[in-house]
Amino acid sequence: MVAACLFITFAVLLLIGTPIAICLGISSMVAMIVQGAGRPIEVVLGTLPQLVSASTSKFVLLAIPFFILGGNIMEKAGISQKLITLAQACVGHLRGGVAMVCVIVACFFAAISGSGPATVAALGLILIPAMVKVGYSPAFSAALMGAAGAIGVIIPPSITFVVYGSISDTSIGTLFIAGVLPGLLMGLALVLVSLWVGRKSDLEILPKASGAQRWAAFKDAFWGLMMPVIILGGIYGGVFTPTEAAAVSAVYGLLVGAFIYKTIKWKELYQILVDSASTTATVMLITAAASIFAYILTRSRIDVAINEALISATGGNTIIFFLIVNIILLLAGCFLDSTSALYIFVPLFVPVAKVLGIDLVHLGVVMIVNLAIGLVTPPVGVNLYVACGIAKCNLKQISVAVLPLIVAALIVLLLVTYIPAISLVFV
Amino acid sequence: GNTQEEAQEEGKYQKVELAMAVNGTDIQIDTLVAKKFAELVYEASDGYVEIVVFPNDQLAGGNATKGIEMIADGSVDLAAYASSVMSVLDERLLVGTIPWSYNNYEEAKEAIDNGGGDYYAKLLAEHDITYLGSFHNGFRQLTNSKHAVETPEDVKGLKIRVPGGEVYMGVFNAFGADPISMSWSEVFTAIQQGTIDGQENGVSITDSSKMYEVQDYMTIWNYTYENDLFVANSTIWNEYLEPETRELLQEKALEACEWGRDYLEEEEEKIIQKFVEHDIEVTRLTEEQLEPFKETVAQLRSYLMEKYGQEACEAFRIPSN
Amino acid sequence: MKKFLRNIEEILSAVCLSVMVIIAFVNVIGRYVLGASLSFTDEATTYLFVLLSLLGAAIAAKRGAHLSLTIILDVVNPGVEKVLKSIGLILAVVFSGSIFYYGIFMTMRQFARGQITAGMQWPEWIFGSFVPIGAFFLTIRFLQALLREIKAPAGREEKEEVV
Ligand code: NA
Ligand code: NA
Repeated sequence: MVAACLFITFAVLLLIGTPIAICLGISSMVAMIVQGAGRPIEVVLGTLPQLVSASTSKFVLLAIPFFILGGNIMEKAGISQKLITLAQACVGHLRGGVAMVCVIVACFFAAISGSGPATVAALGLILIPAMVKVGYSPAFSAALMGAAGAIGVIIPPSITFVVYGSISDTSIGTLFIAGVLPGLLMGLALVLVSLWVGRKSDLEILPKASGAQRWAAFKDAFWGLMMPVIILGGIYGGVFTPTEAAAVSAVYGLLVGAFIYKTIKWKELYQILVDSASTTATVMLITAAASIFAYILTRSRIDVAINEALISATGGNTIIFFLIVNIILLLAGCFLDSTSALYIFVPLFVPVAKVLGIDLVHLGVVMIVNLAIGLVTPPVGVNLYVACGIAKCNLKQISVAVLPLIVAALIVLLLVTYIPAISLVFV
Repeated sequence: GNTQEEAQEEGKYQKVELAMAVNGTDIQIDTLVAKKFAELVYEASDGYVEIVVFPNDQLAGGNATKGIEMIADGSVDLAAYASSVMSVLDERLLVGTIPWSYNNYEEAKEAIDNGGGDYYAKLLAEHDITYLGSFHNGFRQLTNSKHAVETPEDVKGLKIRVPGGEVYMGVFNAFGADPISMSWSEVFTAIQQGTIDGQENGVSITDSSKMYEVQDYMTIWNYTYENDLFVANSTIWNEYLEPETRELLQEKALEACEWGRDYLEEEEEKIIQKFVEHDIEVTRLTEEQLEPFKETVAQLRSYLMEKYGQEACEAFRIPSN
Repeated sequence: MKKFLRNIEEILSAVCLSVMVIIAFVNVIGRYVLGASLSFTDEATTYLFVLLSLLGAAIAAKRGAHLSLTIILDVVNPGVEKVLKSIGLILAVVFSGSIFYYGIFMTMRQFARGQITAGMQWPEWIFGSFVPIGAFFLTIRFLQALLREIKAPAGREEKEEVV
């Protein structure tokens, strides 16, 4: 009953063009009122500000504003342009070369960041314009960036794996190792799709750059290239945490822009800060509203209904179990953030998996790949929204553009699900 | 309809579903106690009183402070939170955590069951919260990746993640360590990369968060006792529940708390054995070895005792230096 | 002064974000170089993040930057489009207004309880008030967007900023 109210209201509002955050918020409020019938309304709705506060004060999400700020600063300072020029000098003569760079850099950066949206925020401001410049549509460029950013939660370190490990009582170190190959596989799939998309559109192919041109571009982009060096070195050298790295990147960009290139003025900095706040907040308002949505779903005990269905449908068959796990998580990934989804579903799946003799590390990888896909599935796809904000495209365009990427990701998901060795070979 | 009337004819319990919030994961002590409680109540009431347990602070977006607000506001009916988490309501709830006040769980239980619990009840009543009982969250122990800790000098310079608050900050500052306030979600990787050296927590949380994968040394020093408080929202407790139901819930809460205490005491030794098997060097400090530690924090203890007041310290039998 | 009032959430959000970055950065320096961390960093930055999120959302509301699915809006006639958009904005006012309204009560309860924060042990209501303060600006900006939508002739693209 509550769940029906929730989803029906949500679907209707979504279709008539209400902003996503408002769809989530209003449908949750309706469901809360239905669920809390008989209790005073100020108690029932009194949790709204608490949920908003809890969901927007998550430490790990701090990487989003910091990386967006860092990216905006690098853009204004001209660092991004220099990096784009370098990328073009290196691979501009290859069809789809920039898209490949985009995915490879995302895999590389995934080894730094533990969060999907942070990866998109850090790289999108540089790579999306680079792709647009060679002829990819803004929507596809943003979609690719969003999907590539999802690799950030599969390749270690990953906060999502830390959460899974501690709920399911599985080794986090082992999960980290198990995530590497599936993450790389996901990267490969995205490269293949962007080559295929590139074949269909008119991409600008640049003449091959000479060694001297490449060297000049490299020298020019040197300070920009130092950024990942500092971030990677800082994290693996134990100087700062991945979230702090995001703040360091913003400060570094500012120092380079203000003192080395002298391209940033104080007055511009104000506008950069305001723009970064706005971009961050479109994502955060959806996150806040999605947490209210997750609250009412949890509160209305949807997990019990799912558990009963799960046990009766599985019938002791591993293949069917995984199929159901995937369907449930893909649907959940459309609406829930990864952490809420893990808290709801790990306690449901783990006991069944144990009975079926499934390795919990394998289950963890399957779940995290699912939730990574959830980062780019509308209506609640945080990565998609960060990318959308950067590329200034609308939701319909990006939702269409992301489809082939989702299909490719689903193929990877099937491989990871039914070939346990992909996750477990190095474990 | 029909069944409800029948039950009332039997003179028993109201048909009710209550939400209970806890902070820990499925395998941590607060969740285990809550689930035990739910089971006991369900059986004794023939399924009429149902307790739905929400672990991980699911209903509060994973945020314990908001969880505390929700039990005080009546957005959830029942909850169990560590005294240090509850202390955002009244800092005197921290009195039992004054460093090195109890040598073992027996002493802690003695103090809480004979005065301490009443004192909690009195403080919480001012916040519309009814105290039903308490169980061990556990003594907090130290783990790190630098070296074994046997003397106060060994703690000096270590970067240790602590959960904020002046008791924990105060202890590590007294030893000349660098106490780090860091979000718990980042601690595992921060230790793995060497950004920080260690953490302090109960044995059970240290285990469930997999610290044995990234830490080499553990010191059993029982430096501060942490208690979990089993509570109900007073408005719901007094106005919504019938007397028989209240009686049943109170009885079963105490039973679940006792079960939890025994469980944790037994379990801790097993977990420490597991750490040893994972090649963690476990150092158990003797009474004698602890003396210089206690001396180092003597000033902090006096300060805290004065701050929480004589009534609190007497209720909890806090020994003076 | 008028300009200040018009852009107050922009100024506040710029201050907010700068302070967050500075705290995080100084903490790295403190811990790594000086071996002495700031004890309040994660708490202070995360509370500021709450304010930043809501203020930024207000800026985005002013700019019409909140994402929505426009499949149906794109095909219906301008009159219907205007009605649907207005409904969306009314609901936006209801949602943000509810956060504002109940946020005031949350803050008042935190004040009445004398609740303190877990880390810094400051009064919780100071940070709690970030929710109604931020939601206030958000509500105002959605309300302005609603009035603009109602006043504007049907079919005109509504993208420019309110000034
Ligand atoms: Na990662
Ligand atoms: Na999604």
